[in-house]
Amino acid sequence: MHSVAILTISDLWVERGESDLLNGLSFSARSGDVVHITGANGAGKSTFFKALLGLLPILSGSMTFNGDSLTQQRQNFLNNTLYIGHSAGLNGALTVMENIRWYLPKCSEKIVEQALSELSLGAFAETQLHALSAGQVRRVALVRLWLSEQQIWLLDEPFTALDQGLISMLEAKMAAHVASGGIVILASHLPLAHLSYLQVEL
Amino acid sequence: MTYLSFFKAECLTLFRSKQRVVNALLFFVLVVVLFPLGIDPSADFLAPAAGGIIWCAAALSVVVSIESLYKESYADGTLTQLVVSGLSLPWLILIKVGVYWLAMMLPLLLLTPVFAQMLFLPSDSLLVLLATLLIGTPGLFLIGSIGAALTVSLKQGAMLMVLLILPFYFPIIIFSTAAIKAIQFGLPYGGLLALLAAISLLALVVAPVMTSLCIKASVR
Ligand SMILES: Nc1ncnc2c1ncn2[C@@H]1O[C@H](COP(=O)(O)OP(=O)(O)OP(=O)(O)O)[C@@H](O)[C@H]1O
Ligand SMILES: [Mg+2]
Repeated sequence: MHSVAILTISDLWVERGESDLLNGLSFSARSGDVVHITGANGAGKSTFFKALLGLLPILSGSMTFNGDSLTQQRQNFLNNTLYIGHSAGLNGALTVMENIRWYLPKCSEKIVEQALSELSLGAFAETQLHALSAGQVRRVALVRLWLSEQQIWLLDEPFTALDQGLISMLEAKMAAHVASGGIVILASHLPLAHLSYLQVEL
Repeated sequence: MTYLSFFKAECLTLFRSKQRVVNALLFFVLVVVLFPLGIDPSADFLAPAAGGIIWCAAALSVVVSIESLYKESYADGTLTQLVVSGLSLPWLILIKVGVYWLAMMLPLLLLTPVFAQMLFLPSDSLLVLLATLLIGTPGLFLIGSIGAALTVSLKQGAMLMVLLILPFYFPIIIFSTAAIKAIQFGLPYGGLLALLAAISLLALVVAPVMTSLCIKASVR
């Protein structure tokens, strides 16, 4: 199945502080693609995600979403996107369950509980986030990822603080997501073992 | 995320960290109690000054507590998630400020009659005082929200933020206390309340948009 490109990035430059980053980054992603962005610390991986989300202005180049300029389609793009950055984006004062409820109010209780136990968080459903370990917090972010319905996943270093078993599990979930027509763009220092992907070096 | 689920999460978060609201209220109580002790506890002095004392205490407790409104969410990345949620950021901000306003003003409005009694404020003036608090404090919170967003990424932004927003509090405090003085002298005060309402309405329109611009500039 070779569909049209959903997301196209061409010749992208972003200014950050004193330096210009991304070196004219170009790639395009169709549904079913995994795009793996690599690069040294400080190369601009996180900067790229922020430019994509509209958090940073771009210096030059173009980004299109479904054929239209991404800047004009921003709202539409954000509605179809789930971004998990360096910080998990979860509220420390709320419990695991309340955090999930906040992001996914329509998800049924049963499905949430199933996902929690799949990630060995079953016993922590009513625990406040700031009483969990760093890896457990990342797991909660993954529960949110798995239960969400967005087509495009933007994952900045998703393997941080995860144990080996969970890394393979996340890869499997990414494979399932793209198999059902999703797009995954991730930045990571680890090579992906069980997935075919498009690698983009910054 | 929906607006409703955000509202629920905000209420829960505030309930869990009620210390913040309690501290602000405690600050309010302390200022009101210490004032007569420090200057003059007689009814002659306090009755005309009571409105001003209560208003200054309320404004101070708002300004010191609203500084941290976005700090937590900035630190844990949830602020970024709000920006990229696809929902309208000004509306989310309005919900956040609204929840905070309710949590702080409900107890404060309940405490006010007690303190008004203590400060010998006549009961017709008390009604005007409550009206000015109800109409004027949304302006305090909304303007405070801009300052909080502006300084959210600064480590020691508290002082800067107080200096930035305090001048915008002056008209609110001046009109409120003028309305309370007006009734004590038997003068009409409706116009002053209308001015207060105008300020709060203006803040209601402008502040969420300004706050969201500041937040977008600081989460990058
Ligand atoms: N808030 C900021 N303000 C100014 N410059 C920044 C800011 N954040 C990052 N930079 C600069 O931008 C460059 C790229 O940073 P970025 O976070 O995109 O790197 P990265 O590839 O994600 O690195 P890492 O692998 O460490 O996550 C860095 O050289 C850094 O100095
Ligand atoms: Mg990074």
